[in-house]
Amino acid sequence: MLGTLGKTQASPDLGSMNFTLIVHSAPHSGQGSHTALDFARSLVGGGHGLQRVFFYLDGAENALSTRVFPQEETDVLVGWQTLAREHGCELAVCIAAALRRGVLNHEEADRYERRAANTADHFVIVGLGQLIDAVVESDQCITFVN
Amino acid sequence: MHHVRELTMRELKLLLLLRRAPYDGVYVPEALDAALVAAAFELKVSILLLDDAVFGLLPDQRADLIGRRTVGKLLLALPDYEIERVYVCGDSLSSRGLHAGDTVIPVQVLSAGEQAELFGSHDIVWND
Repeated sequence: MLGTLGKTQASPDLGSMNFTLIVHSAPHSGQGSHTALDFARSLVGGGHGLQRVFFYLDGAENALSTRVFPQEETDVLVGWQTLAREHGCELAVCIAAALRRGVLNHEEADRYERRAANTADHFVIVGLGQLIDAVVESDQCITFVN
Repeated sequence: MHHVRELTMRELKLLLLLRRAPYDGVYVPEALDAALVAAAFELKVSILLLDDAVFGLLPDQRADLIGRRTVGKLLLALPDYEIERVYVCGDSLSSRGLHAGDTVIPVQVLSAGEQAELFGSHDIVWND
């Protein structure tokens, strides 16, 4: 994890805060997405709010439905989906980052005439404006890079 | 904590850190895209270039020759998006034999201590 950031105006009231996590790391490049998933589980387990995880840069690859995780490695895809299902956390993927990395939902697959859509369930493809919204609306925003 | 939300977007200050070399993947252009969107949402955006990212400040880059967007040109366009505060790490420049006068846009050179103050003066910090 690198690069954090909080809003300096945030009060030190750590009772319950709303977080936005930004993930820049693909599942198998560096440890960023695993660390982010662990951190996200700890947040919701500790009673904090996690409205949205935003996947940007190589992080968009977390949304691939076609990745197969070897048995002895953590399946971060299932981890993210469980977080979304059990805690209502939105998994938002930047559309520009997703297109560049071949992560397509049905609409984009049709638009660009690709043969398959491969965005996993619970992930939504959104614009960068949603990232700004999430950052502005949350108390703390933490970025996970490689 | 709730008074954070009482800040309008216009008052929020975002600092973008760029550390990667300009043509190490497309990370720098993608990070700059996010900064432009933040500026369009009326956040006050500053940029700090560190480490190999300072090479992006060199003039006469021809990234079209390698099928990329030219980072120097993207930096040059920042004022059009009302991003006018661009800072650079002095140690990163000098250890690469570069000088502030060599850069494609005017930059403010900061010492390590000044960078720490810069972090403290922003509400949000992003990195590439």
